[in-house]
Amino acid sequence: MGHSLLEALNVRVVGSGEKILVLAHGFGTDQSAWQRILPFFRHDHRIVLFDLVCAGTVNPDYFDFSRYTSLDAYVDDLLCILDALRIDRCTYVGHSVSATIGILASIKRPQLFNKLILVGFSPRILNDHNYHGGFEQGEIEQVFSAMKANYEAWVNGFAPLAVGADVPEAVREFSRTLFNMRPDITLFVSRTVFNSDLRGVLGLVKVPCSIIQTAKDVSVPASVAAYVKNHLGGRSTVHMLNIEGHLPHLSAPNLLAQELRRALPK
Amino acid sequence: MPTPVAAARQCLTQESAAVLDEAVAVARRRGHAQTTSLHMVSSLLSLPNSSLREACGRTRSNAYSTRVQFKALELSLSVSLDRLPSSQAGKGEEREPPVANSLMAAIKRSQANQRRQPENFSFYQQQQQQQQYSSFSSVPVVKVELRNLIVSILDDPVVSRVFGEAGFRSCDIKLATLRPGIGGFHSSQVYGCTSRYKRPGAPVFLCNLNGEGDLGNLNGGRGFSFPFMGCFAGDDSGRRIGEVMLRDRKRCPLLLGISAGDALAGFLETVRGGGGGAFPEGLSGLRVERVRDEISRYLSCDCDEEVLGLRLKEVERAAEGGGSGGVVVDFGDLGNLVGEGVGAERLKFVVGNLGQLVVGGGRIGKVWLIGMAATYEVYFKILNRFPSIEEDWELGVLPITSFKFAMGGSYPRSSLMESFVPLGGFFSMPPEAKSPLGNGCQHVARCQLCNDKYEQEVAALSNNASPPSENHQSSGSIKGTDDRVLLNAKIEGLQKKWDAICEQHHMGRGHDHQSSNQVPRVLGFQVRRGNDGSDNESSNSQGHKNQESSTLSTHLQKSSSFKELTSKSGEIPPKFKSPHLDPSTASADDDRTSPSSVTSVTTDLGLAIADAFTPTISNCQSDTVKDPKLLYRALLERVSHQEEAVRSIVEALTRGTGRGNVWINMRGADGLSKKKLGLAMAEAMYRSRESLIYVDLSFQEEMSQVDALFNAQISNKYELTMRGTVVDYLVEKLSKKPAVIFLDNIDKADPVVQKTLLQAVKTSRFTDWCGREVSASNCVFLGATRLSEGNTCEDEEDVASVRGSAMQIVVRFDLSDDPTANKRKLVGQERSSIITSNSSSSSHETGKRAHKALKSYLDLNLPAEGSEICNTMRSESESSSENSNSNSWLVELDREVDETVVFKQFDFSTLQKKVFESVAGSLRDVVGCECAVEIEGKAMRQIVVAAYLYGGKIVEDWIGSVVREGFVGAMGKYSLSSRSIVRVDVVGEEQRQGLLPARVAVK
Repeated sequence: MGHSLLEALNVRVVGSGEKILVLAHGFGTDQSAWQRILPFFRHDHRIVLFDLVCAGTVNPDYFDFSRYTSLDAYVDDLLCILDALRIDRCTYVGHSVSATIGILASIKRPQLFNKLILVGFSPRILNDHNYHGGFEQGEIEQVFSAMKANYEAWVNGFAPLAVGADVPEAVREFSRTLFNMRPDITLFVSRTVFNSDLRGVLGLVKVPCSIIQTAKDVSVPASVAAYVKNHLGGRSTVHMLNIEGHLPHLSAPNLLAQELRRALPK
Repeated sequence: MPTPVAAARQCLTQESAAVLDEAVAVARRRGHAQTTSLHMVSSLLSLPNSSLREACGRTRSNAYSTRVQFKALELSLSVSLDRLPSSQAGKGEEREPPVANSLMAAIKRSQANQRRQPENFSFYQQQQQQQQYSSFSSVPVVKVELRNLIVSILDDPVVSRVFGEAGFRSCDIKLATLRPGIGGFHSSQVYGCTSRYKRPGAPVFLCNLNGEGDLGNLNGGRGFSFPFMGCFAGDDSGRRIGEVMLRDRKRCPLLLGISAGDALAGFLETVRGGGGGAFPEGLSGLRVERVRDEISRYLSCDCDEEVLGLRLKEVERAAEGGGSGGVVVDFGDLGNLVGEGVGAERLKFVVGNLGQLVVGGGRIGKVWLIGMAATYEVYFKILNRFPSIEEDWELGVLPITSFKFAMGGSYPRSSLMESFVPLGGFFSMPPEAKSPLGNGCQHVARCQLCNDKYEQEVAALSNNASPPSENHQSSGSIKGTDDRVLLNAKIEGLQKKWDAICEQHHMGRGHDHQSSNQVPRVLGFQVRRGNDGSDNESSNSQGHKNQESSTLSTHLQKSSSFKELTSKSGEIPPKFKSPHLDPSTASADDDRTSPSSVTSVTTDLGLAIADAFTPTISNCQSDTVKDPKLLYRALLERVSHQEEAVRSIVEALTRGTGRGNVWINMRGADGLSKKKLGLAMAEAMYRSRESLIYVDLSFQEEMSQVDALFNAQISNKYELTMRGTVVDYLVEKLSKKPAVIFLDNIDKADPVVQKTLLQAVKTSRFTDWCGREVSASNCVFLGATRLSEGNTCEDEEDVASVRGSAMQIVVRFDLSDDPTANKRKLVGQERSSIITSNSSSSSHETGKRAHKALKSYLDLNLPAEGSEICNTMRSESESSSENSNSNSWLVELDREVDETVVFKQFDFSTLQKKVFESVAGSLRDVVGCECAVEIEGKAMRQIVVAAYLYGGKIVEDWIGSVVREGFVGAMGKYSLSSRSIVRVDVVGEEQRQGLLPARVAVK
């Protein structure tokens, strides 16, 4: 199982060094999103890269619609990968949905992680009383139906919004990876994401966390970072990036690399 | 889990299958374990009149010739193929290497793409519908055409790397593949030069090349059908709860999370319904005992202990009774236990009794407690009150993070939505974001209203139809089939009703079916045009050609300080004006501020110089180099005290190198001079300040005074918040025109920059991450680092920390017999670090000169021999650590660069002496006779720093006017004589104002 999973999810280990860094990509991208971050760390870290099962680079046949109904199945995948690679301690950098996955994995196996770095993390995307997640249920449903009606149009509209309009290369890259996903899988995964709510369990996280967030992010309001920091169970810090966009690793890699370096455990 | 070749071939058209066969043959020949995308590429390239090769031919970048690029492509492909693991099973001759996952993923992608293409759509749709009747899961077989397959394969990162190494960009090739017959285009043409976003067809993928961009109509014409929409029921929380229950310890699940209530209800429903196949083995025949109501009644004092006690006994008996697999005791929400008004006694009773149930249950039969808490905070409260509850109740915390998927008609079906989604899809901004989506937002608001009402009605309907239950969402599905059909029919009716209402009232303004490509336009992105800036720059520089030349000549004739005065006039207090400077014309753009008189005087000379620097950029450097004396003079004017460094730099520039650009490393102290030099070179060699490209590789955030001063003068500076890396920035800048590239703190470069710089210094080419290459010819690269042998530069850090404060003059009269005794004490009190740090550099000078430098407290009345402050306490030990810091990379770079120049430390002591003499001189002028002057340490530092930053001339002028005015005032107030001691002092806190105050008060 372990070996075939490594193959199916295109697991790669690059770089050299004692410390292990796991880079987990978010929704709509694949491991190539870290391409521009890699060079900053590969000389002193061993970096584990993999694709989420929903990524366009993974054979869609592996996406089992009855298995990946909640994020726990993704967590199992992550833990399987780390076990198969015989990793017993690592630093985990997770973007968007992978930040969520990392949180859940650290609740399950706290000793496996010495630090979580959460980029663009939101415990809950929908608004609630006393909580501003950024979206109303109705808006989400609209998005879903737009996605269904014309996936391509949706991608073309969504990518510049998510990335930030001023970086065409990054928009192109994000559109590419987003469009590589099979639309039904994209929709299914977004539903999974929008249906998940981590607010109740943040207190269970004892691993130190760094929250990296951009100043303006269409999917994550700035207030969320403070919320997360206040509710996490362990030590945590917030790093705000003074840029726009949900994908700083695509749009401002240099800045993100600096912040990551700062956030890494000493 | 590679796919057998035969299975993969089924997905391909004949043409594509032939390519695959060829690829398999290549893989087999090379003895590889699997057939990958690389093999496909190799096979595609080897085809007779290969379409891939032809596409590549049309996209060649302008950096290399086609032939070279194809050679490089073949080379990098074969290298990559060589790296692939070979088959373990030695005799691979007979076996066909199966298709690798990545290649299979590419095939699947192209299948999906092809299915979405309009010309195929109805066909596949029909096929799919037929299929839906028979089996649900399988996707109809789409035979992938070669063209689509190529595009998918190009998306494979391994493949695009191979192409990238050969200088191709896979997006270009994709474009060429999909749009055959457009000869010799450049990507910018296609993406649109006017604006990157208003291009006709956003990122190039399969669909938008074929599609007209219309939204799918309601009947699902283009709408992609989602076969899985109906089967969201799967939820594995039941399985996970079961896993917890099977554990030996901590076996009682406590579901934690906002949605835990739903999960708990769902789980209990499943248990009551017999469990089905959702649970692991070993958990069968479970019974649910619900005690949550009793507990909450008891806690809210609605009933007394007996009732609850009896109920718990009953549960216990049920567990003892056996026969079943065990009892699951549902105690409900932990939040009830910590709610307000819960008596401590009663709570204790509940906790204790439930605990006994577990312990007893462990002995007698199988009893599990199960419950939930919405947040960790609730659980934490319980833990605080009953620290041992986790052990007593054997609680195993299970995070529940996902809501069940909404089912049936309980959420607005998309048919409602599809009708009015005006844009191809957008995430509306959070409310505080200023968004141009006003229109869209209105739609959202209105229909939200309709949805809410609709939902309310649905809820009411389902509540009526079924007995009260926690969530109406699941109730519909739990009821019998008859009920469900009825309910669904009703819900459908409601849907239609609200659909109509919504359309009539809110959507009446029409369904603007915007084409998808217009989306960005509708949103009104402010798109920054990459070229705008440079256009302006160039037109500017054209327009002000004459002015520029005159400015240039001004530099050469007049002292540099004048220039700095004009550009820096903002920092100089308004009251202080140099006689020939009108502040109203002073602005950052000093080209326009040169007083006309000066211009006219120097016009001749200016024109002559302008001729020397001919405007053609390509040879402007060589022209400058032709006249090194001119350059030397121009540079030295700015950094007069670094003669040696300037000389060697000019020599290096004159000498020229084989590769058409010059690399110079500047080591040592005096960062300001380096920066000034960079500016001067940009102006002298490329005729504008904009030609200085400044990158601080240490990315320091706080700005010192030196930086602030310098930053105001440069227009091209890399900021971390800019998108893209340093390398991207440099590539972009270099692609426009040659320039002076100033790489500050080069020792702090990150590995990415290090690699690029090394490559650039060796090959004089820069490559950014997407493979764009620019040549760096005709550029000058200045690397600056503070590292150097045995040199520390603390004085500069001190300079950076100095802030301006107001000054005053204090006059006292010396009545003591031995004035020097008094003053020695004062000397000891404060030591300005500027001066002490100077000691090392000035130590070789004569004692007489040194003594003034070494004292913080300058006083002419002190005898020269009186300065006993030690020469240099600073040992040389620091230098060794500095040396070890300079990494091997820097050493390597040093070997490659054309010249390494060491800058001297700035000689503050001489400057200090000059300042002091000038102040004393001005006092002498006012008073008419010798009287003692003291300049307090801080005041002195402030003045010296001002002289360092702005140039000596400004300070001279300042002393001549402001300080002199102060002395005159003092003279009027107290008649100064030879026995008086005049002291210049700072008052008040340090503040952010000019280093040279506008007036000096007399106390």
